Amino acid sequence: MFNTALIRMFLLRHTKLVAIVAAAAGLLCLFLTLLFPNMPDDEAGVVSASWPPIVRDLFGDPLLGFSDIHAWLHLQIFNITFWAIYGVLAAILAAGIIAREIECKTMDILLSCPIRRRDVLASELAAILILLVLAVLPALAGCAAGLAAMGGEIRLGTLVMVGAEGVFLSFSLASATLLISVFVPNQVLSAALAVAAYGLMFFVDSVLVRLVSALEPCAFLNPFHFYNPEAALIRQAARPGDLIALFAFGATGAVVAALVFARRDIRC
Amino acid sequence: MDKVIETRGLTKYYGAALGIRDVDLVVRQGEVFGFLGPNGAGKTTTIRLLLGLLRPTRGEIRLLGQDTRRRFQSLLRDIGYLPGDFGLYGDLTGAQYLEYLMRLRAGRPTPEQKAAMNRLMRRFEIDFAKKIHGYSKGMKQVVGIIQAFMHLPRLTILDEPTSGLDPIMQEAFYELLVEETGRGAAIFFSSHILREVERVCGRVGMIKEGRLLNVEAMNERGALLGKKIAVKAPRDAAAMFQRLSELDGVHDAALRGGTLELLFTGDMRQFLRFLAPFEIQDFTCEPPNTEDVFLRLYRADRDV
Ligand SMILES: Nc1ncnc2c1ncn2[C@@H]1O[C@H](COP(=O)(O)OP(=O)(O)OP(=O)(O)O)[C@@H](O)[C@H]1O
Ligand SMILES: [Mg+2]
Repeated sequence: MFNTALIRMFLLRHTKLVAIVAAAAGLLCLFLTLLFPNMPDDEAGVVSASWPPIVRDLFGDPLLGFSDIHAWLHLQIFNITFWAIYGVLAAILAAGIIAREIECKTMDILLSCPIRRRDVLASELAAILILLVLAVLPALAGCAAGLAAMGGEIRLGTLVMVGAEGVFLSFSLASATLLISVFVPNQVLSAALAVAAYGLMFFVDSVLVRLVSALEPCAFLNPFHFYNPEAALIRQAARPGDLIALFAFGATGAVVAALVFARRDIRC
Repeated sequence: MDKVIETRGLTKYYGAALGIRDVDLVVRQGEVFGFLGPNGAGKTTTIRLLLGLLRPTRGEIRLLGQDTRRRFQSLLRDIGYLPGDFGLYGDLTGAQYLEYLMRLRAGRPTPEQKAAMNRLMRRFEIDFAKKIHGYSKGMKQVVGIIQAFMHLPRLTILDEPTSGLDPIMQEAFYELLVEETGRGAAIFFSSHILREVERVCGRVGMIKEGRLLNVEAMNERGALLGKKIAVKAPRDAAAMFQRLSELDGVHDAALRGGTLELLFTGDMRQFLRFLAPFEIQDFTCEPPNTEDVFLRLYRADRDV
């Protein structure tokens, strides 16, 4: 199922991009953590009251965020910034699996090698998972360094948990990109469509579901339903089941992509 | 296991557009089979169907004696492929790319395969240490050719392999084909260059508008497709024209002014004897261009 030569080549060809993104994300996380305002509760309450509810739903509530450093991390980093960075990275990497091979006309030679199409997808998705894990580490280190500098408590387990949620959410975005690229073998388009779809699903999960109760029974179809960094950061009540669900989204997308791709004509 | 390629009723439609229709091909072990056709004839479509990159609308394909619908991946170990229009990973050097593909094609390459790769790299001397995005079209073509042969496949399928090669590289490529058939491998290659096909192929299949017209073996003179002849004889041309039916192998004869033009596939000595009694000013004899040949074959095919 996994081909080591393919995995190694995918890692090799994307090290530079991933290193740059990881370093930048690490610095950004450090910088954002250092901005913690550390307000007294009542002042934070005033700020919170001045934010419209939809903004609080979307970005998080400053009531806790401005007074508790872990809630600040959620507000500033893990609610949106974190998955947005790694989600876009994952989409770009995943667009390299099918869309770029077809755009660059390298697919014919690759598929004339004795490797099943589904093994190509599985191997390169595995490589993406490895790259995402490595890319997330500097961001978590940036948060930890920021926490240390601001005198906050470093909860390693919590950071690992939110990092893992971010990785699996981004991984599911990668497999969504892959699935789209089976039909739209264009790098920019497939990545942009997948990221836009995830942006929409984020909006549905954080705002729309609260406004339209009819959506609630279908909420579990949305990966963001299982992306709850606030549970780990604020309530210290991380749910490992969320990780499994997020991974299942990624795996399902990949399996569907592989099934469809296996029977399609390769465009040249 | 004598037949390395066998297709039956192979047909491909791209939506409503015809790619190829009812192509029945047989290619045997140890032969160089040329697949000749003008632009848009269906050469690339046929080749990509053989490689499983396209799914046939209908028809069957057997490669190396096996139905390709089952265990296709293991068959691919013994097949080499050079696409007509391909890209390479520009961020790798030629050598890195070849090593990578060797691992994909052969898993753990045998010493023979490694030696074959090195031999090929020496034969086509280009700078393999340079990144591929700095390569010219011909250099990329060389890398493409090497990757198609380096794992010592039993069958190599090439789509217009000499495009972009200079005459020296072309020569090296033709020599390679001879060596490959020498070790029993079969080569299937498409081209629209008649001379090339005449020179290196044992048999030739001709395709036009998606239909395989006919498969011919080279005759003993090596000339598959005859000669285009023009005889300038202002006084006798008309008389010659009338007596042409005495000869075998005359096609598309036409009288233009005082010049008789025709395509001749018969015995040249007989033709020269036929000319001897006439008063001739000028005589030219040249290989026909692809379009002439296709016109002839196409007409012949339609008349059948
Ligand atoms: N993706 C496609 N969609 C629709 N029609 C196609 C497609 N690819 C090829 N065709 C059609 O199929 C026919 C055969 O094309 P093909 O590429 O096989 O020709 P070819 O013999 O390789 O030509 P060339 O010498 O120009 O490479 C052509 O009429 C072409 O228009
Ligand atoms: Mg072609």
